[in-house]
Amino acid sequence: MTTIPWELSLMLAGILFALGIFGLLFRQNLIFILLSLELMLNACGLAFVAIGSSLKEADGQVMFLLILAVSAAEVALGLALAIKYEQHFGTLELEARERG
Amino acid sequence: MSIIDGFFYLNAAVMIVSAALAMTKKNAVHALLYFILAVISLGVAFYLLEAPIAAALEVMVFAGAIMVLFVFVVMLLNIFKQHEAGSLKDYAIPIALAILLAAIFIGALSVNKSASSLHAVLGPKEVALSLFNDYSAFVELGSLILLAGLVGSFHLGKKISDEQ
Repeated sequence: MTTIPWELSLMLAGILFALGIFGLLFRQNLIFILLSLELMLNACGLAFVAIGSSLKEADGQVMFLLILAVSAAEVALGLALAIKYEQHFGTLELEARERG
Repeated sequence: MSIIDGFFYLNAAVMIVSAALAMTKKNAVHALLYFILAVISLGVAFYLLEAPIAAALEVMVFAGAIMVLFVFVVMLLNIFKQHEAGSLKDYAIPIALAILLAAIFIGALSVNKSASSLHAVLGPKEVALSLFNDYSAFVELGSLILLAGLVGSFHLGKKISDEQ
């Protein structure tokens, strides 16, 4: 029987999501941008699992499985695009492309 | 406040610190390894929230498959900087975070076993019943998304090899 209040888990998910948004806005490297997106998806998964656990329903974990599938597909496509970008522009930095 | 709450707070601290380090490190490989630490710590949080199948999948799929894909791409593009082996001071933060995470997980395992609260856990059986009864459309949607990712990345990879 868990005694962890769901507000606490949602707070943690919010902090992780904010960290992800920080990384998304302030990093210029394509790999780091994908990493930030992963962190934000993980935060969403934590929110779903926490609410599902506090309601004693399995639905939260089902949603987490869907998030897992979405993020796997997103990473496969994103990294393929990153390799393509690197081969085309010779760098992964977004600022360098705007300057040059 | 029970001991599980204490473990959850400690685990949340490990998760936030390693995620923040992953977002701010310059070196891509260091950032990826800190992110893997954050993902494993999220798996421990799922375990503490009595979602064992989500915890197992988090470690297997996120830390085991997705992050390895990231590490492979970073190695393939050769964007990480070689640097000489640092002093013990450079390893202090990762070692402390990893040991703290291991201690939390071992402690949570032993506490949960002694409390024998496994009947309240939403295990794989409940999740599978809900997934394949109520949410079978989501299974189809998830497989469609994965197929789209497969076809898309295959297409992109094929174009790259044609250009060379």
